[in-house]
Amino acid sequence: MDDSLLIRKFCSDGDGEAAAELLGKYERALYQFIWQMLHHSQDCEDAMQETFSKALCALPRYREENHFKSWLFRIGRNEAISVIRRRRRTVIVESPEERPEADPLIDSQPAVSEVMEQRERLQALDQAISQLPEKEREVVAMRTQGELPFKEIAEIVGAPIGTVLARMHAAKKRLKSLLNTELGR
Amino acid sequence: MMNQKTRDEILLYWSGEADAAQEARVQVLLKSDPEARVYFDELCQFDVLRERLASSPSMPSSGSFAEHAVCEMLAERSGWRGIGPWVSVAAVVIVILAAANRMWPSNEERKETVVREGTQEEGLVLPRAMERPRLSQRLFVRERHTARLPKILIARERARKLRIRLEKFPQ
Repeated sequence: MDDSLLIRKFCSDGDGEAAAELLGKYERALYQFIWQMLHHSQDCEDAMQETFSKALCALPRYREENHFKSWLFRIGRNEAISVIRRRRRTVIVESPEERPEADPLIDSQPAVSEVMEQRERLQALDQAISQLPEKEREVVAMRTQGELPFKEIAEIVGAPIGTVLARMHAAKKRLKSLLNTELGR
Repeated sequence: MMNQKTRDEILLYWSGEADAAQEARVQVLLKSDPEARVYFDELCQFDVLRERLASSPSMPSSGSFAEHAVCEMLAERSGWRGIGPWVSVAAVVIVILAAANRMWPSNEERKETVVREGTQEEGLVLPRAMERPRLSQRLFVRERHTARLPKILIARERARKLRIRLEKFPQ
């Protein structure tokens, strides 16, 4: 169902199911984005909860000229930034091994060495992204995991599109060297 | 060496946000410039990156955040709805009590008026402290405002003054 229709249903009829469907559409992308910003399960879950609560409270004030997804990501980004500020930029990195149920490769029963190799690559990638500066990391996460266009990212972060593109370029360069170092070890 | 403008155009082209003119320029560039092609290929690695990261992190098994947030909000709303009527009843009662309190004069006010009238009738000038009833009377007297009350109070006050005069009398 269309976002604006779901919003109308929630705001005028108080339809909780419509609100759950609306937020549920972007839940996974938002979770992945916040995860890339925080790299900590508990903080990530808290930020998600807070983001959705704030979004539901602010939904009656939402104006349709903005894309709902961008609007939601803006709230999520602010929440993630406030968590980062609270923790004084102490980012605790959780390794993917702590969440083995997440790996779909296990279901397909490939060779153990292959699984290990995939997991190492994933871990290296995750770590490389977590090492990016905050401003570059948020652009990469919003573009790759949130699948937001650069124009909307520029609106969310409140910077000109040229700055966002420059951050993406810098992140690409940094990731390339970080991954070369990680995988070349 | 690519300049920043070209790089930005390639980024927009890769993102699917380039306009028609930018798109045409980038397509020509990708055919002619190996450096631009390498840059574009590297950007395509981000698509691979997205696919790889699609499974990481997993959503927590505790359930949907969206559903949880909606349930919480609805519970909060219904809670307020339950309390709402009681709050309005309490507000109405408070308003009625406040209005009654304003209309109904206090015992102290009544006594002061009576004493003042009594002394004025007699043409006596009493010190300010003596015009007021005793503290015990002010605190504990709870009589209703009846027609007989002023007379009783005047009589009581006269008795009090007489007692004072007698006390001053030499033994």
